[in-house]
Amino acid sequence: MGDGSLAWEDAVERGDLRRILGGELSPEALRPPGESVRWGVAGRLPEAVVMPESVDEASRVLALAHRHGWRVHPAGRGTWLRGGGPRIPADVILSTARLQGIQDYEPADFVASVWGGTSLGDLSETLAPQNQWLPLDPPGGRRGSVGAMVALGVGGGLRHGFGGPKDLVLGLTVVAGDGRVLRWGGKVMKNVAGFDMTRLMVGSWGELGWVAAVTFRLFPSPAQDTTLLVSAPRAEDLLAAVRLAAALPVPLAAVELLDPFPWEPGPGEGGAALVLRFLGSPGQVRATESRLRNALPTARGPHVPQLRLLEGRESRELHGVLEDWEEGGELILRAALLPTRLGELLTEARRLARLPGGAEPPPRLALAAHAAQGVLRIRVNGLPEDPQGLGVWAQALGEWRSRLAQRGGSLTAMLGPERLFDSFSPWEPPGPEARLVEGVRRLLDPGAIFPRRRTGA
Amino acid sequence: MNSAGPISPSLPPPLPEEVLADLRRAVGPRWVITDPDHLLVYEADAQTGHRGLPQAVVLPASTQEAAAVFGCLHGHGIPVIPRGAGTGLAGGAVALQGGVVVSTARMNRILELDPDNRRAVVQPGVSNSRLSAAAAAFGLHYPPDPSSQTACTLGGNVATNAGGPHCLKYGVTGRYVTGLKVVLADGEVMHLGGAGREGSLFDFVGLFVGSEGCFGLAAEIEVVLAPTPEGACTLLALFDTLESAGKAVTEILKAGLLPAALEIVDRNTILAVEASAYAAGYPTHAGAALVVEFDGYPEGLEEEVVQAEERCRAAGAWEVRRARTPEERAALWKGRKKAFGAMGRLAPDLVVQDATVPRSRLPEVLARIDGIARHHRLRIANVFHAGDGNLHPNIVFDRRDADETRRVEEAAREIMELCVAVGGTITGEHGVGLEKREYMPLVFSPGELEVLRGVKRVFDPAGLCNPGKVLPPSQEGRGGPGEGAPDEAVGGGRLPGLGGRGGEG
Repeated sequence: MGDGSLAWEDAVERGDLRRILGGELSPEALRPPGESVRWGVAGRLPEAVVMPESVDEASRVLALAHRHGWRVHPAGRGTWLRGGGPRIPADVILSTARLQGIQDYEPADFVASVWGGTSLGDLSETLAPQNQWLPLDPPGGRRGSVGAMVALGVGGGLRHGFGGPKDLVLGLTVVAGDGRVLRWGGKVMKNVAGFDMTRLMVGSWGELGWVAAVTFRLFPSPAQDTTLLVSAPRAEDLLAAVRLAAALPVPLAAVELLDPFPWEPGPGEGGAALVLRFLGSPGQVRATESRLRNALPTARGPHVPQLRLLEGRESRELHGVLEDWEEGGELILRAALLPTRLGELLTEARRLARLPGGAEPPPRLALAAHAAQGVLRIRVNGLPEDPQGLGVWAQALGEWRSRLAQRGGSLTAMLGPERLFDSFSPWEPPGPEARLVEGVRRLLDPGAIFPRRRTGA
Repeated sequence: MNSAGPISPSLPPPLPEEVLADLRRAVGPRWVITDPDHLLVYEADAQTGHRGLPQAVVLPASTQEAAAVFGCLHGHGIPVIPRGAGTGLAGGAVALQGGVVVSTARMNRILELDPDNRRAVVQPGVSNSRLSAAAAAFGLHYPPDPSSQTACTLGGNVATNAGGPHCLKYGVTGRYVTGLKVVLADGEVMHLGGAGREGSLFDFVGLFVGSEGCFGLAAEIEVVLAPTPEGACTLLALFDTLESAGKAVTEILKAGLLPAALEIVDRNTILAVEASAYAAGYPTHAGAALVVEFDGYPEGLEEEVVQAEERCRAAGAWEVRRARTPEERAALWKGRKKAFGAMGRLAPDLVVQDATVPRSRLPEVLARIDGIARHHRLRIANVFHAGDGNLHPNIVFDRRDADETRRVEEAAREIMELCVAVGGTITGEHGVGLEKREYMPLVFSPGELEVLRGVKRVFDPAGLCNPGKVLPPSQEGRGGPGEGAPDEAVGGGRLPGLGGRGGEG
């Protein structure tokens, strides 16, 4: 298996798949065929969508899948099935949708363990009355499951102040590709027993296991949540302000640059905005604000930046909007270079809208940067439909990736159309790391039943 | 090794002349040490209970030289043991079954300091505090701060995923390492990650950090630096009991405050410090001392400090001292940072323990550790990172007393079992090394241990890189690659390396 073509023996076996699974699962775990419509992967519906209600059920399904060579696509709520550009249809979607809720939460420990299907929104509602929170704001925000967030390993703007999922996940329960249930890390703040498998798992996109439960490190809810918006016509006009904000002696919670700025009312003259979020005690927040207000006018640019302060509810509302920034994008790219080269990323990204021989009207780009980290997200809509126009895009992206790689950077497509990924792979090939990549895959998914990200066109 | 008494390892067989010739070619004759007197320096780390002489010590100066050394030894099937400053507390850098120690002492250059991107690239032999000192000119520092930071190397920090008092707020080594150029067991040089990259399929940098030299040598380390806070204020709160100090910690965190550090020392530690050359002026009748540090903008610190003071008093502190200037702060910290050095006053030998428990269980765990000490008629001095539940119960003893040594071994195991039973783990920042590998089954199932062995094989198929460390010998006793061979299992059946002293996190 693995090449996408079905031998007829396989097909016979698949005909039996639902029956075999049914014998292993509670009746509710196996979704009726009609319900699988929204669970298509790579243009084909799975034979079965399975929503186990326990780790044991998930383990039995994966052991079976391993034995029979079924392809299993790990999923949370099904919102990321296009991610990474899987080329191979799934026989089984294994979703955490019914494995939800708090497993263990002791507020005095600042640690919570939750089942993989729990949404971030539900988790934060549990924590809020205890005056605690999980400072993670991944794309899709509160709706997504914690399991999916861990699998994707992607944070949002708060990574600047708190680190990303890797830094806040203390422990994981995962089910390997042959049904082994493995627990990595633990429920304590510091743990160096054994190799750091938790870090390996976070961001592995479900290739190394199905995330059944996650233990997070929590923080006290900030007494104050304040955002300073700095606006200018274009993102490029705000680079000096970015450098200044990133160099403050007390790190901000987030330094996000958006062009166009996606929120009404905008900061002033429209166009781009730099979003500076600071959290903490009233004294530190006041001090931060006054430093910024004094310093920002010295951040020279062609335009005098305009400032606007958002506090409390208004600040949180804006950040909710930013979490949804990727929604509706046809193609989501992440380009990265060292932070001081963010200007190059912006310039090079804008060229994508005016590719020679490209489509008319040109695709629409929106830009959002984790500015202090040198990471630029590019949301593209209106990609060409015709193969030729798409080919121009694929070639341009491939060339850009190479140029970024020469400067120590990278380009990844988080989400995008299959037809583009046939000639531009969403992930870059692993290079010399390939032997390690293959090694850990063999170890944790010996039958290669989980989908692998596409790294070659 | 014997289970008690001074340990004098026998001399391992010398390396074949052709291997020595290759090594000398790789690094220059001066940097291959074979003289038994000189090898003695490398027979142990700071936990001196584990000893073993290497067949040679090699000191490469560059990644290329290190790669040549690893390649040569791999070709001859000779184990290689990476070593930094030797401040480790788990026996992780000890040559257990002969082999060659590769010391990073000459790989001590800061290769790149890039303040605009808040990053640096260093060789593994650079000491932790030297990097911070170099970054200070740019208003930056490297946050993980193990107590041994003036000596310990960044390579060693990467190997153990080191922490320190300030990791409560800032996080441990793993959060700061963005890229590594590693020399794998077979001499292959591989570049993992990088600050400007987001496109790696798996986080091999994160996996390599904390791998205790079992995967290879971190030959070039890229780290992020953090801005240095403009102001800091340190409190020393004195309590009658450990329990009330623990309660103050809970109340401070419950109030939504996030100090940069929250450290506790107990009465035995205070007594040791005050009787030593490091006397810090802690009252010797105090049952516990809590150090609380806040950092940030000076004008914004006052309200946090006042709140913390109030919480400490409400929890039973009878005195709260405040330090604002660097000199005053250094004086308050002295009682905490010099605790280990001071314990030499109490007895000739010391077991520096390290475990983490859920923070809410600290009072109960400390009471039970006290019970264990009484039961075994031992003296235990507690120093701990209270904010994150990381304990250092330190047992002082005299290794010449065989009975006492046996009781120390029993107590150490009971403490580990206790910490695991309440939901904690066997090491928070010192690592497993030789010291704790037999405790690994307390926290990992056989299946999980098998996966860890498998991961080791992915990096080091021949099992030559720091063999016998971290992973307990497999139950079957087959001693395959990456495992300790059965005959050297657990240092001849003895428990943790007793003796030695050194820093800690």
